[in-house]
Amino acid sequence: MSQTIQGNPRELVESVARVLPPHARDDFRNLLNEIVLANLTALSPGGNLLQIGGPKAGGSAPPVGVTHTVVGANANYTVSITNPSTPQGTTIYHEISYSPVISFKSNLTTTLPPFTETTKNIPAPGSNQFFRLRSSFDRKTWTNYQLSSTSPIDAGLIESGTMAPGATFNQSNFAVATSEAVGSGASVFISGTGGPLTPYTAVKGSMQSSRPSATIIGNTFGPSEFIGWDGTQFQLKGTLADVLADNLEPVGKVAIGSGAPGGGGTAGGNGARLTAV
Amino acid sequence: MTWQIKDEFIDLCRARHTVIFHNPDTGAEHHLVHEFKLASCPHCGTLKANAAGIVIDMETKKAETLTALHAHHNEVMQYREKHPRVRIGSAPK
Repeated sequence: MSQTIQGNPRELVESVARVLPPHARDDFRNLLNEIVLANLTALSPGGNLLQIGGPKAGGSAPPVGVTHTVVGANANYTVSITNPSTPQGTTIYHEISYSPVISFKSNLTTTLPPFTETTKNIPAPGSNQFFRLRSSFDRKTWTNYQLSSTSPIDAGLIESGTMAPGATFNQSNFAVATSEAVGSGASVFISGTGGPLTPYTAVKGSMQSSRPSATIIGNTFGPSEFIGWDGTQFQLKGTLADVLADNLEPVGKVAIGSGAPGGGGTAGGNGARLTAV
Repeated sequence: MTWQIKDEFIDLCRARHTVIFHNPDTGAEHHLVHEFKLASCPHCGTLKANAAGIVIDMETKKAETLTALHAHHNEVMQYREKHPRVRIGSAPK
């Protein structure tokens, strides 16, 4: 049986992948590359794919049996590696790389320098990445990449429970929150210092972000309401403790129907300084 | 018409009707939220404070908000027209 492969199959895969929608390209590449590799292996004598320079052996062979896990928590990735039992004095080098895309074909892919430790901590607040590991004795001949997980691993954010007590207040804002009685109901207005309907600035550490203005209306507000921003929407809560949840950014407080700005800070200012809350 | 409605949804779980206005020229957003929570306790029937009374017409509120946003934008743009050579930005270079 004679088989002829027309051109380089990987180049053909790439040329087809480029005409596909961006979100489908990586899956297509991975699938076709696996099929091509399986076919080449199957067509090889004895099912062994020949490698340039012949199969690796002895000191140039890569280590066998290295396993690893990656756990993301508290804005940190922890990579734990288990080495196989090797003769004393043999060092195994590991190389970790991580990327937001599973193909790792992105300029956002980070590859750490080879290391010999079996634990590695990588700080990455709010990051969502795929991880892979390869190992070597001589830093020249490497094992194939082992993907840590087929889905991205979320590092999460630093939880307030692991921070110094005052650190959670290292944020502020320039929101003005007022309320107005409307019949038996009320309206809550949130805006910037530029006046009604202007966005306000939230400050966290040295970073400033713009937040939308808002009008919240209803008939069932309590005597005072605490305002939080969850990243997409404003939430009204009945107590201060409720807006200090980890998923909320404190904005300020209003006394319903009083017409007076609540909270502390600058005149008419408000918010996460919470001095007067 | 500079300001436009970018999204509108009713969250049945939280009993909130949200309208998000967006100004593509400036990137600004304004949220109009109607909290239509129950006026009384479903268990004992106790009326919540301020519960009795007006019915909020969300369509009217949306129209009023859009008018106010346009008026505010026009005011800003009139000022801008007086200073056409000044750079638009939010911070020093």
